[in-house]
Amino acid sequence: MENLCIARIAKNIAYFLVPVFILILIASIIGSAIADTDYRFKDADNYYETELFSNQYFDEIERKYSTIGYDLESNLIIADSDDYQKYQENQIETNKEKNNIYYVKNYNSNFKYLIIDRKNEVAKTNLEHTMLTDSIEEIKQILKQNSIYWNYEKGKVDTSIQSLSLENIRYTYTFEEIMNYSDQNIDIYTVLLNDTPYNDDYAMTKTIYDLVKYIEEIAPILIPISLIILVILAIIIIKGIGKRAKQQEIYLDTFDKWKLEIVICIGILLAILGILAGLIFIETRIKALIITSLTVGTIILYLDGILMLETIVKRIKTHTLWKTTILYSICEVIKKLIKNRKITTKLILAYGGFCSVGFFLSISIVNRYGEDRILAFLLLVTLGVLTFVFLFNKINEFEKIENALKSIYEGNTNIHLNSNELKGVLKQLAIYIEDIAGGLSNAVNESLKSERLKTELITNVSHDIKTPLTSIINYVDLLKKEKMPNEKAEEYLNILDSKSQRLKKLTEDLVEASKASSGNIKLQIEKINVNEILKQVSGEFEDRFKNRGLEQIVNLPEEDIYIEADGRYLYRVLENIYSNVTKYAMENSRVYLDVVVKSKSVVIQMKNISQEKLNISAEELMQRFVRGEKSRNTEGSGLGLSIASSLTELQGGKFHIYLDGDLFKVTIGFEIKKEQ
Amino acid sequence: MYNILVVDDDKEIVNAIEIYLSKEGYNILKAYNGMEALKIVKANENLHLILLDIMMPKLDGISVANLIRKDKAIPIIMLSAKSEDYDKIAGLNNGADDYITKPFNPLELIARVNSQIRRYTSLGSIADKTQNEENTYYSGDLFINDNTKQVLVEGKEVKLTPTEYNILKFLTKNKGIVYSIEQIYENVWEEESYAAENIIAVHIRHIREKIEINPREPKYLKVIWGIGYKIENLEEK
Repeated sequence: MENLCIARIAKNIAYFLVPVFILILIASIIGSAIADTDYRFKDADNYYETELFSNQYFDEIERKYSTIGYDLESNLIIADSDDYQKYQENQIETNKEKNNIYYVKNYNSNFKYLIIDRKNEVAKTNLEHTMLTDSIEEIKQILKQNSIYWNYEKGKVDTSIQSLSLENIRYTYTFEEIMNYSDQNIDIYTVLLNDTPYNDDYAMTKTIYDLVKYIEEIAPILIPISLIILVILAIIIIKGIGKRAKQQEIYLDTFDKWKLEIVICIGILLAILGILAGLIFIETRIKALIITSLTVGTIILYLDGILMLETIVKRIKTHTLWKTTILYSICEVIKKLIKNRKITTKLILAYGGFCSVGFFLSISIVNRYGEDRILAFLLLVTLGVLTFVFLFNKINEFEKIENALKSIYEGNTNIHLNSNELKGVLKQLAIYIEDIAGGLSNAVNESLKSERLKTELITNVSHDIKTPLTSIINYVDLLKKEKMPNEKAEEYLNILDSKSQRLKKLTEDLVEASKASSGNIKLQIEKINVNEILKQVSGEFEDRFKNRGLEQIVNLPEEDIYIEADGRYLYRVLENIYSNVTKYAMENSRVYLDVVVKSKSVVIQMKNISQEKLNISAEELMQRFVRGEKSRNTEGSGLGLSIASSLTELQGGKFHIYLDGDLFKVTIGFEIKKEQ
Repeated sequence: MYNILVVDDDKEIVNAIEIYLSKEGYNILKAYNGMEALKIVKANENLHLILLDIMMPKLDGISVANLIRKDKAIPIIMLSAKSEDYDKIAGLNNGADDYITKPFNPLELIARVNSQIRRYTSLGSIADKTQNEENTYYSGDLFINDNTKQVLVEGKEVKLTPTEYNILKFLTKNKGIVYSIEQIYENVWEEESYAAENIIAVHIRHIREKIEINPREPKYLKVIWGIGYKIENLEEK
């Protein structure tokens, strides 16, 4: 929560810092550009060596000289029109009485001069008139204290400025005149005051020069630093946009929900307004007005920029940039119009579009010549390729759906169709299929769960039945050891005995049947020898068969056949079948046990003749609690065949019962496990 | 006179067991929950066997067996309506020597009680005697003396036919190893098996009926369905 607040404050601070660094950046770039490109600044160690300075200085000399003239009345040298004006306004002091030196009251210049007319014995200077400047020599002395000078004395030039020496000087008309005048006894002394104390053009140019030089020096550091800072500020701003204290989500106000196109129009209009406001007074040449209007214009532009940036970044952050456009709304309307149509309508629309585009392209191939024709041909090819790609993708999607359906059909309801990857009609189809698969899977799980619960319930109930049953069986047993009062009592007791024994068997079988049918059994699959187990089981039942006079005809293959099963449960299956035979087979009949070996499977067959009439179907016989005869006097729970069938299927085998008149046949099929 | 403690929360079951075991000449002590049982075990030094129900109020049978086993070697037979394999395994792992499921056959109960009492009281000496002699074979409490052709199960002599005796001797000699019907035939008859059919299986069943208390759940002669038969390799306790 705290962080959000900080992000917002940081963003606002960044907004103030951005213009500062932009200015620094622009100044650095412009400064170094000037220093690099302006010839007047080049190849100089300081301002006084630049061409800029020497030109300015020489122009000043020329100007001072070329406008020289005499006021005959006062015998005064009038240096230039400015001087004359000052003279008229009584700004020129004279010291004629002493040394014929005229002082021009123009102290605001760093350029000081002394012009001497030796013939007329007058001199003129713009040095300040002080006690020290009462004689020509003294003025010269004062001027000599300055390091930048240019003197013309008796036809010779003496200067500290390299480019203004007699050899290097630019040959102009004025300079020729000066050279000619030298015969007329004119001497010129000019200096630029050390440290340029007055705020004149020289001082200003020097300041600019120094600044530019300074900027050029630090620009290699300043530009990257300010760029990095700007990038950081931009990140801070973009991160901070839309954050509000105590709110996790990006905050959107009404403006952010306006259509993007309208917002962009407003932005452009504001920008135009800013430019207009900035340039409106440019023609007036009134500095204050221009600066004010430029500032206002810039601020408008900057605020407009912030406004646009904020709303666009917020829209991007909330993924609504595209959704808030008018174009999107139009697309949506078109989509809706198409979506609610029948698939055939869609097909007709798509096919119509394809045909008309193709038709026009084909026509243009015929009608056009040269490049246009090639272009149209290329477009037609592109159309064909795109249509193929589209159809190919659709077929792919269709195949995915087909595979999913196939896997559901095969019983695997755990499918992943990724309906988001599909489009259009097939997407809807995929969603339906996923729903159906989910429903199926739930139903299967539910039924498994309910089977498991049923098994648990049966187990618990049978446990609760067993405890009282223990007492019943025990006390019946104890009673049997007592003397009964009469035969009837003895008969009743025998019934109680047999029924309690049946109840015991029933509870045991019930648990087993429910476990077997719900698959709630842990199997230990091993390699089982079919011959061996059949010999073992028939050995177990030999005595019981003999008791009922049953003759076993065994027909086993000579080679050993191996299958994969759990020996204990396979024995339970066979035991149930055998005990079924001992209970229900006709006395003194034959029982056939055959093992039929096929290429991949082995079938164990057990055939016998039923004692009672079998007025029931094979399917019914396998259901729980159903026995071959209607009366339920014989022992057994009626669960035996049901348990045998469930256990066989659990081990991957196939269990069948065939009834043909009194012939009762059971087959158990297993896949043969090949020796490795 | 041997003392047997019967513990079950169902009084009628306790009474029925008392009737059966009293007839066999045992002295019966009764408890109806785990705590009572523990008190009686503490008070009576001269106990020879405990019949213990599992599901009881206050303290269940598994815990009782665990507590008794901490300092006593009295045989414990669990008596429970829980008949799942893992129930039996839990009982036997927690100190029980035998496990009988309810509803039980009274004769089986008596046989198992007699067996445990015999083992606990007098068997040790017979075992020592027989074990060291030549031509004797054993597994747990099953002893075969080939000199006298005698078979003893838990100290009781068992009468076998010569074929049954030979099969049992061969399997006990090679206890722990599983033999198929064919192998047993070849080794006992010492001739090629010729469609032995189920003769061996019938004999094995007869032997089981003679030496096992419950032939359906054999202790010594195990049937490995679809593979063969073996005598379990039981260590002398």
